[in-house]
Amino acid sequence: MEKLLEVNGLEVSFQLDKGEVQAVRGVSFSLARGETLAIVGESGSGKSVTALAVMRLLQHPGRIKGGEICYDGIELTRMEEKGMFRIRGAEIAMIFQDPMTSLNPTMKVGEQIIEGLRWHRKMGTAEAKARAAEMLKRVGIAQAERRLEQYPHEFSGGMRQRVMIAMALALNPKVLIADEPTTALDVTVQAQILELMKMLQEETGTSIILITHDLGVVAETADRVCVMYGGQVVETGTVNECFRQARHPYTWGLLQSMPRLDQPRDRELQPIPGSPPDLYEPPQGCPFADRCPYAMHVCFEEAPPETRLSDTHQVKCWLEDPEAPPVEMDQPFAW
Amino acid sequence: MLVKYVMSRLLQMVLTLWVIATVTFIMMKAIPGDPFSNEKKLPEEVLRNLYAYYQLDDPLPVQYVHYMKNLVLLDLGPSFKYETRTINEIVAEGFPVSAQLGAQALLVAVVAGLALGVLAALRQNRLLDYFSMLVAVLGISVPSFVLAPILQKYLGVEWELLPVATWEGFASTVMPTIALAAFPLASVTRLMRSSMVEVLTQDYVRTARAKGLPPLFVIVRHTIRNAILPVVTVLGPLTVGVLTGSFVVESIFSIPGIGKYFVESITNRDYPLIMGITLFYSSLLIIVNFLVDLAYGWIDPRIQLAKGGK
Repeated sequence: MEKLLEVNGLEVSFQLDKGEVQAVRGVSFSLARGETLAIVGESGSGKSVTALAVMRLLQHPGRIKGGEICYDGIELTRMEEKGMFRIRGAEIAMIFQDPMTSLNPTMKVGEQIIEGLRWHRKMGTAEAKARAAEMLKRVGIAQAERRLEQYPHEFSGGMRQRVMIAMALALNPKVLIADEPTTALDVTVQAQILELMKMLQEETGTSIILITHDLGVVAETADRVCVMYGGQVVETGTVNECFRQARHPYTWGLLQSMPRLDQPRDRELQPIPGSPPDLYEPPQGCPFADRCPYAMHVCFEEAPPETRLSDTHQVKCWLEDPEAPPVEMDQPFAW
Repeated sequence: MLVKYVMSRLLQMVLTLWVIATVTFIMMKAIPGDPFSNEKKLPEEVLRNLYAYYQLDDPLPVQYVHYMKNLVLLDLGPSFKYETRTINEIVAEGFPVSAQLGAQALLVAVVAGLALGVLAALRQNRLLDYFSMLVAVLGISVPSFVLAPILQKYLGVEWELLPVATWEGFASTVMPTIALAAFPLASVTRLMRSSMVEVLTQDYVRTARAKGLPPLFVIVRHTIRNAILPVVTVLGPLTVGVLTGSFVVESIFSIPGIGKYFVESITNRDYPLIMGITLFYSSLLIIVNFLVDLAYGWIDPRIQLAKGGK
């Protein structure tokens, strides 16, 4: 498949008084047209920072320290801010975690959709309004014309996220980055929003980067998965590969800490003990070594190389080394 | 709904004014002395005639009812001191001057304060930020009666740039305006800066940037309007500050506004003038506060005035 977005060795750090936080340390992934890539990991693993870096929306003191972000043949890391005004929103759009705070409370919803259309497409008010109403209808908001004149506080959480999606897709962007789009919503509403995103993707062919910590969401919507930990991608593969043939102990941990219907009810969830590494002074070895039940000496000494298990499945773990003892996940994921 | 709200607010305003009038009346009568006790001893006879003429020999409740009756008819009575003039005339003559000075000062304070506050927030912890914070600290800590003579000495006397103390032409209004605007300007600057700093970190500002809107666009449409609400809140109290400040500033620059009369009216025990100016300024403040409340609803649609919100 044709690559639309390629991120290579991305490094992002935040220069604080206490020192430098290396939030993203050499992240690489690619996104094909029409594909959904899920980036999973716990809080602080660098997923959101990666997304903001792609949008070039990092706020001071955060900055891109190294690596490349290549969108449709254009290098974004070295692009002038002026050029980004044409990319953001129009080519790569983004929706955020909390629809309650992501819309401007003092501006009518319609205004907020229209302003992007007017700026990027130089549309007149009437044309932009018509397009905004059409988008609201497409995301399943009834009485679209009337709703355009309302303020965000007149919408429920799920409806606001629909507005965010309508706003993001109004310009037909080629990439949609969704940063935990369902985290702040009720479970029933979550399913509706995911369903909506899937449907719109089929209609428009937009590629989606879905950032989440919810493996259920991943299983339901994604084609491929990047598992991030400590600012690095530790395992990447198709959904099938990452769920059924996971090779990284961290991925195993994530899978085992998730409730499952096919397990006896009295089986306890297994949390991953410990906490993520301190990114002020990232470990020189594998970032997960501290919490890994299979950690060997080498894991603490040296960062593991990437092992290619298939064209799509790669993992960074010393257990893949021929000299390592064979280890399997306790309870493989029957899915 | 809005009509009902406005009506109930108007009723409240009338009530507030009545309370102010009553309390002022009582306090004023409680001050020892009377309008004629300052002047050189007048013969008993003359005094008694004066009291009778101004109905000061009636019992207090009668005087009170009499005053209230006239007040309802918007007649503030004659001045005791300026015998040929009514309070209505004095206010009508002095107010345009005070209003011009006050309006100029408020305009300068709000426009310059907002601009400085916004710029400071956008250049956080850099030179411009430190400069505007310096202005704010000076404006808040240096009282107008200190600032005014300093301005007069340098701008007026030493460098002869502006007239020292007259009220003729625009040039003569510059120094009093600065002296009067300093405090509110400082308050607006500080408030706007902190409010902007907070709004700039909001999610919806990030959303606006993610839409690809250029920075100026984002700032004007998505931050200033949201950040301005706390400033609108203090506009009422700031107007009070400008009004009371104008008493001092008007005396220093010998400006023929109402402020001058107000101060004199108290030392002279000019009862109708005290009452008149107090009530006039009170109504002004009540109206300003009412307008500020209406402005909230317009700026922030989440505030619904009609549904009992204040």
